[in-house]
Amino acid sequence: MKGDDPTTSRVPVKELSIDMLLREKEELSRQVKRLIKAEGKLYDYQQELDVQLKEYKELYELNRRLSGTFDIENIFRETVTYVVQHLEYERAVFLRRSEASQSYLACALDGYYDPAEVGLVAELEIAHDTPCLSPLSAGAEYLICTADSHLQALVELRARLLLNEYLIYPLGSHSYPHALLVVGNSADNAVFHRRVTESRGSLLSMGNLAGLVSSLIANQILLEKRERAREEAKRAEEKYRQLSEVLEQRVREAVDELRQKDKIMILQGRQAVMGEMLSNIAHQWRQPLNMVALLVQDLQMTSKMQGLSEAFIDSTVKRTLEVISQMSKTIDDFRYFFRPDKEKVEFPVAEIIEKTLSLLQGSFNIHGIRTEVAQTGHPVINGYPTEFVQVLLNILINARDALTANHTLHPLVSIKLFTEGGKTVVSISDNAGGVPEEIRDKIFEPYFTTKGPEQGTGIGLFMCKTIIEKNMQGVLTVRNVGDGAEFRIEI
Amino acid sequence: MGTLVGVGCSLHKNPVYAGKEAALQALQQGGITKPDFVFVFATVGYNQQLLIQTIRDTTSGAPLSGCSGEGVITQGMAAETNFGVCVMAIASDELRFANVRVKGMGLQAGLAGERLAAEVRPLLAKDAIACFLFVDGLVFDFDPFRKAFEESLGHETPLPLFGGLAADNWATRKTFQYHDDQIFSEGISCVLMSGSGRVAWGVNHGCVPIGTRRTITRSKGNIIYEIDGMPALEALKDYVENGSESQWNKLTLNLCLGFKTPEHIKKDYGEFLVRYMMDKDDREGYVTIQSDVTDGTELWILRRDKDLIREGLQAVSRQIRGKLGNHKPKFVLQFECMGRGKVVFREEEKIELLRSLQEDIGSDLPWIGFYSYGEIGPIASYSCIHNFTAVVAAIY
Repeated sequence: MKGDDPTTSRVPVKELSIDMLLREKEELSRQVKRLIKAEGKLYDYQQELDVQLKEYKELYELNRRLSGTFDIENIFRETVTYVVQHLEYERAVFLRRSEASQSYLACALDGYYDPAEVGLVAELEIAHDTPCLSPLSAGAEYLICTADSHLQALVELRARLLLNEYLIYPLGSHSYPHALLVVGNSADNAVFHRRVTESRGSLLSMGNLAGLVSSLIANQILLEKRERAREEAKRAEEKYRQLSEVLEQRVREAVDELRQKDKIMILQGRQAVMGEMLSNIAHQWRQPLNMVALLVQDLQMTSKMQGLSEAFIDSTVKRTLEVISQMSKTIDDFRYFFRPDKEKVEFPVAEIIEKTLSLLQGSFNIHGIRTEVAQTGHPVINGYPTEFVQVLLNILINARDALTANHTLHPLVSIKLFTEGGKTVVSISDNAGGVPEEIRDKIFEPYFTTKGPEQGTGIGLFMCKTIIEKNMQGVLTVRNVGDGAEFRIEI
Repeated sequence: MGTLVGVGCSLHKNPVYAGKEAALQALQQGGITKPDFVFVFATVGYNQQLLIQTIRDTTSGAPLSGCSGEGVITQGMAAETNFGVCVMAIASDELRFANVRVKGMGLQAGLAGERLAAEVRPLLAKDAIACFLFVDGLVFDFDPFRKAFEESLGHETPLPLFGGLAADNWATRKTFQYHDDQIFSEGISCVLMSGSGRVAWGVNHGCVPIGTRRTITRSKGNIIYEIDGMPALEALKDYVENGSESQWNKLTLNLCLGFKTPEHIKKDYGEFLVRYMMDKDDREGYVTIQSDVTDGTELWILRRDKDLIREGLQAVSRQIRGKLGNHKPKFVLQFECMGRGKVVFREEEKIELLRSLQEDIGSDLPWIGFYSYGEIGPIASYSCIHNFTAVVAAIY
């Protein structure tokens, strides 16, 4: 059979094998070429990955360094250094917003190594309303000027920044950025640096940095604001404290002054009352002095006319001593009135009322004024007895003057002493017609008098109120009762 | 005194600050007041004049040589950035360093070799140890240079050449060579080391072929016009994403060309000499490499292999330790291809590899290097240029 002939079947098999081998070789060659291309791509990706990893690591380190700083100038410095040393741009400038000049002023720069260029860029000032910045206010993430840009507004900045290609990132609020970060390259050296392009990788790196720095600056500004607010609060508190101290001091001084005035007024009142007392003493001594004079004259006359018996002498001496004793008592009462109170003591009120009335007895007698004292129990007061006498004297003298002035037919002063609600009450009333309604609210005010400048000082009742209410924590009131006035002391 | 060596580095962007920082660190680490010689490697982002001037001022005007790289290397640090500088300060009564330079090399590498030999010849002494070359990596063609240099120098045994091709971080605009106060491009900065010392070195790449053999069908010098009868770029386009029109420098890092290693160095180097395609012409479809080829030369397309790179560094370490014996190096210079850095390794992997090598040879040694556009180091007794390679020279 033809088909069984080995010579005829061997040739096609060999040809077939060679053909297959050639095809396999070609296929292998194609595969190798694909592998070589893939390997090339792999190396490229690997390199990109390394660059990205390095960048992230360095960005992390930057973040760590800057997160611990509270110095915004340091953030600016570190950022421009980072851009130049790690992001491979040739140059970086930080411009900070200045409210005073309505512009952005250079505050940190790196990558400018010629002193003349450093000087120029350090003085850089870009007005807020520079047209090329307007896209940032409108929310643009960045401004880009590439080497082949022709946009007039951006091109004009080249010479000022000494950068042929650059990126500008706003930091802080977009509508009114707190700072601008400018990065880029000069024309001569761009080839050795990261080019300014719209490439995703390049912008990603800068975007990451701008995001980080922007948030650091925002935090820093917030911290600064808080710190300023805290300082202001502290200053306000200090001012308030100083004002309070001044005020307290003034109040203290005013109170001291008032107390001093009170003391002076009380003293004046006392002196006024003392004048009254001296008049009383003079009056009360006139009659006993007359008596002593008569007794002495009688002694002389009797001696001349009938001689002095022992019994007569004894009788005359006895009567003279009685008169002198009465006069001495009057002096004692007067001295009691002027004895200064040093501290509060508990005193029986009835005794004080009695002493006070005795001081005025002569004067009351002259004017035919009758006195009544009605006492319930034996009330006591814890206070200053001399000052209390002064109060009683003032009220009683006022009653006397009113009774006299009104020509009251049967002048009468009634004093009631009793206890009410745990308090001692002394009420002194007269029948002199009472206090007119229109002046009742004013009679306790200082320098208010109805007696005229010759007779009244206007401090008597004010002094009484001060003594009772301030010094002895009581209450002094007045009201009209029946046909006269009633002064009520509650302590 | 022996030999005092200190290394400093800085990644600061300000050239004055960076230069001062690196130089001061070097002086401090070496305990040196006035160095006899200074090596400097830096990257191209700096104002080079300011940088070098600052280093010169800080190192009391000591003779200085070096170049720009794609990155800088010191102990535990490999920074591939546009802003990095490392300085090695040396004070020695055992070793002498004489530096010369050739400017205006252009594309005439052979002439540059002759001119350099003329500069070196008067300085040659019997105890000459090696030459360190820092050459513009954008215009250099090694083979005619070496041939002219060695022939013009007339040294009885060729001086071992070590060094690297200056880089500019793929900008392919301008690389810089440093010679004292001078900074120039398209030139060679050369250091002749003489005295009592030796060099233990290791060289290794980490590339593997990814296809079958190809053949150069049209070439001239270091330009390959056609491969297998088609424009060179056309032959390569299937291996690169989006064709060859963009990011040429990075794309060619993933691919390189491998040539059969000459028999006399095959044992020490391995099967392939690796070449980086430093330039291309889209219109004519050719590529340029850093050594000469001829029509009919076989070539393979190679790719970098991370495992091979790791193993290769271990081999470098073994080679050096084998040569050192019990001697401790005074300092180490490393010339590492930029295609073996961040473009292939993760940052951590890269540092780990470097540390591993440094720990093997000496983690306390003054160590300086740079990422280059090409590495120069002898295989056996033949000085070669390499690509995708690490050349590590330990001076002891």
